[in-house]
Amino acid sequence: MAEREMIMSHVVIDKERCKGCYLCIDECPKKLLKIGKDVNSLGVHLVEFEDPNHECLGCALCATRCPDMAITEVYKG
Amino acid sequence: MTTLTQTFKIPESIKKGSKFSFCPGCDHGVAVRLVAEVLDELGLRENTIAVASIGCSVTLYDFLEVDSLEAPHGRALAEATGIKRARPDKFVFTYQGDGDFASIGMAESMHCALRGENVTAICINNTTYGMTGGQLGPTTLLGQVTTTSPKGRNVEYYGYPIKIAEHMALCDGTAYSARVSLDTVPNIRKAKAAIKKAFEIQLKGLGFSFVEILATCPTNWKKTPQKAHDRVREEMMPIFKPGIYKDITANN
Repeated sequence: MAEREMIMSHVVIDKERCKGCYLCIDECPKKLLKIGKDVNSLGVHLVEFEDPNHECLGCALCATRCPDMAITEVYKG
Repeated sequence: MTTLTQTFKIPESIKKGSKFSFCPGCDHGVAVRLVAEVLDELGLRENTIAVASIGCSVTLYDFLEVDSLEAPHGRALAEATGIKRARPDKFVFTYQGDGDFASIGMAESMHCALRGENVTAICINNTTYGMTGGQLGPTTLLGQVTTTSPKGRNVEYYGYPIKIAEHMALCDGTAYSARVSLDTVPNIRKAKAAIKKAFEIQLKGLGFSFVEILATCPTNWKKTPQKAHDRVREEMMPIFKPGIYKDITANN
């Protein structure tokens, strides 16, 4: 990850914890989470975090909603 | 240079590397996490004995980094009573489902509240028996279709659902009784505040504290996790109204 991105608000997703309920996608106020193409060992299409314009607020609404703690860390920059 | 503040992390009271065994979208995961967060915030992890029950909450000890016991079906509060009386210095709480708490364990639960045991009970209400395949439970709503009420729950045959938080509030030994929901993030935050309050009541030694949590069961309701939350909001919350039904510290 580029150094510039490291000081921006972002979330960390644990791919093996995600069960694909996609509750986080509706929760994000900036719509930065979407269903990706990658699958994990459960065969679940993983949630992807994409933030090209650095819009993430670091509000942790997604992580608070996630029932499986798949969003393990949220940082606010 | 800008510094990053961490706004969310996995609570320390969650076992390292553990993964929830619940179905996708099940609110049990949120409830366990909230309990862990409150244990962290109150610094109780090293001094806690949890009592797990039968149901989807059965594997609680796999997720929480605290000492725990597994109770026979419905008897979690009976075990908690014994633990608390033998070790009054320990923080004791139970984590149960509605079938365990209000059907099989109704006598144990009610009498624990009537005795005013200084323990905390957390009850997940998802209006069905989740683990055994979605049978009719004590909180199943009127008209709800389950595997044992295929035409919907009707009053003539099955009777009425029980409103647990209200009943617990009527017991004189109860110090705190609240019902919360996990359907939206603001309600999740309220749920955490209620759990914290209940734990603090026990720490002050005021009596029995109880939190009922309205949760989803997407698998047995045969709904998506999103639709299941809509059902909590539209069908459950008008009947099981969230709120604080008893709080003996409120007037002080």
